[in-house]
Amino acid sequence: MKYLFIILLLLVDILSAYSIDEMLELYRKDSDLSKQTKNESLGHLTIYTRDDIERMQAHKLQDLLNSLRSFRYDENLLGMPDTLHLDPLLYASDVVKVFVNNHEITSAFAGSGLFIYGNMDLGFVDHVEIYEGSTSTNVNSEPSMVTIKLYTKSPNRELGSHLFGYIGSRATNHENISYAGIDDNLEYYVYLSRTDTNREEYIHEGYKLSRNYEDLHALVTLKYNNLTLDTDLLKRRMDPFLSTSMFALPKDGEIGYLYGRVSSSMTFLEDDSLKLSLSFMRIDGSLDLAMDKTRWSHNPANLSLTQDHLETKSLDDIYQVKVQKDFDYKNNNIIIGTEYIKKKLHGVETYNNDVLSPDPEFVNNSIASLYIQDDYLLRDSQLLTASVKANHYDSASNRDAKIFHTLQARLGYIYSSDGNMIKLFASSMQLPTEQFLLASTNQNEIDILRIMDYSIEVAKSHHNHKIALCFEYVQNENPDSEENLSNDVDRYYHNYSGSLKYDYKYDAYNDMTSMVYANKIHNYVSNKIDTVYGANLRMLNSWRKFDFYNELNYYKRTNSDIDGINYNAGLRYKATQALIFSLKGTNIFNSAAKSEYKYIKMYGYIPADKSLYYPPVDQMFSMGVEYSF
Amino acid sequence: MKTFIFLLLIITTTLQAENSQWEKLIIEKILHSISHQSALKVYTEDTNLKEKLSSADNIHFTQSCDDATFVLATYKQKCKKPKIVFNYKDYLHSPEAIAVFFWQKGRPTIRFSSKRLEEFGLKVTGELSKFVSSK
Repeated sequence: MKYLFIILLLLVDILSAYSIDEMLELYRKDSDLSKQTKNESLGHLTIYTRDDIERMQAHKLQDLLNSLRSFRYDENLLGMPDTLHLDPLLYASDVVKVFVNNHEITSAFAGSGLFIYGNMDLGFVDHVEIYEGSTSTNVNSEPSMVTIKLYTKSPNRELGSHLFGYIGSRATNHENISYAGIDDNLEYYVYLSRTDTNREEYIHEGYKLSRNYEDLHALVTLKYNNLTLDTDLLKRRMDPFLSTSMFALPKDGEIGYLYGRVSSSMTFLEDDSLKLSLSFMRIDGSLDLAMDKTRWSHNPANLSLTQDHLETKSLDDIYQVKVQKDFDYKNNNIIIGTEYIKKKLHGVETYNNDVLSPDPEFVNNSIASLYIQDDYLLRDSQLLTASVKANHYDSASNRDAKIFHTLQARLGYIYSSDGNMIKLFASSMQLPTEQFLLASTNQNEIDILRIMDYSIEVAKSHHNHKIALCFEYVQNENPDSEENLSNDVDRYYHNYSGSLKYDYKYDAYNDMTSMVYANKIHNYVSNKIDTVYGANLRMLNSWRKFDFYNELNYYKRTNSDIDGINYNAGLRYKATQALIFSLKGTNIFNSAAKSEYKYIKMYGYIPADKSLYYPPVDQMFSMGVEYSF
Repeated sequence: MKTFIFLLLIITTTLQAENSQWEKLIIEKILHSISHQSALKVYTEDTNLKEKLSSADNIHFTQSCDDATFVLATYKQKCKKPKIVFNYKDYLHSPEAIAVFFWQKGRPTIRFSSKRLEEFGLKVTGELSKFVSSK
């Protein structure tokens, strides 16, 4: 007891030796809002705190998606964020779900909001949580394999004004201004930004491949007693990169959309255990793609086309209502909820080679869900979680109209004690075919495919060291298996993923995270097993008024020429509390692993499969300045 | 309730204690910068705050506001004693709020009101005097 008292006295003495500025800075680091929002039981979690984001100078969400186990940042043939990119599919990341302040961002066409937020600026974001593997059924409307949660800056922590801007390679530039205030019971945060991103351009057979884009973004968050309201408005214009050209010969074109969202959540009852969430989002999109020869097509007659032109406009609307109640009963914490989502793609006007299409695409899907989750405390340090969700689909499009049901179930066990953590999850999910896949594969029928996901994570923390081992097995149902079962086609694909992490926190200002990983993935398009090997190392250091950032990402994929190291480095100088200068280099040696883009090359009348390789991360040097007042 | 506590444990972090430690030390520093008394009599109705400061040196919690030298207020308290508040709105609207420990532009900061300090005959000494403002 005597020794304990002496140690306590020494501790108090040491702590008191800090200056008030150091104490405030350490308090800031320890008070990250992720501590209030993170939930270890939702999956295998990676957190980027406000401090991480600032010191890494992560300008966009894509900057945070290169050091994860199960996927890396990637882009599709239109230059849109598509982490599970599978050329020539238009989009493949429907199981990557994005949330802003716990509101799911999705679309009727793609089934995910990643293509919007994946390369949007991060100036309005406080912290990011990434859950790999399936997640609890009360989180996502439909099954997911990755859940990315963005939390916007909290008005009551941001009081005042903030300016930030950077300029980078190829005249890329970004500016944002934000203001937060409080007035009686009202708290508000207003954010405006403009980004002009000029990417590396490539020439293929004399055709320019550009994926430059411009964003105008506005976000307002309001808090009034138990009500929160978010509004988002984004105007994006982008070059079409490879377009949908089968021969990688894009001539001209533009992709643009206006994305708007209004979301609100309210809590009721004394203990806030009853929650209501409402959301509406619209993507008013347009596509104008001109190319030599033809777009990707299943029709052999199109191979004789010399020119192809696709012009389309559409409205993609999402309506969401969610009601959830939490109960405590003995050792159980029970969540019961219901959710309704309407996904509507309408107002479609398509011109194929300047001829109005008589049969425009439309989607009108309603999903009504009921879910229940029980978190049962086995012992003080052990939790058993079980959840089940039933979805009723009323799905209509010009290809299909159908009523069907899907089921999601998940079991989990979590042990957490004295720096040790064990997580075990098993999920069974049913996933209906998304619209992008129907359009990409010219498929008429909606299939309901089963996904099984089993994962384990074991982590041990000791003093400043943390080591974690994770293994995941995912079994996907082959969408072609029904028709071809007699031809010995595998009914299920098997995917494996494993990682070993080691983190070292020297002190509050200096830390290192590292990981090696390997994944075996069944490539649906090539029908081959791709093996991915990767390693990440990140160091965040501070010295006096300087912050240093160094990161290495190694990525190699078999059956392709995808192999490379991405090295990023950054320096911040905090001239005063209010004025900060920064320098950053991304993909400094222009050696990052590339992405594969398939195309067809004709040798006389014989078509041959070819690939182009371009990195999803450009070499970029930037310098920025931020000022608070 | 046990379930809820465990959920809180896995949802929040084990570092929460450290977080409170810094908060406690900063509040202590604020109080000691405006008072030379070795033992400070403090009143608060906030049980969380009381718990956080329970191990603080030379801070004694009083049963009533009348017996206290300072009030730590996290919500409106009808008490005519110099208050330290934790919300800028309370600082603006409470005439007894001599200091506020709050978040501004993404960072925690402190502000003392020179006018209100004067009204209570108080003065900030040491390194915290840079936080005294006429606002």
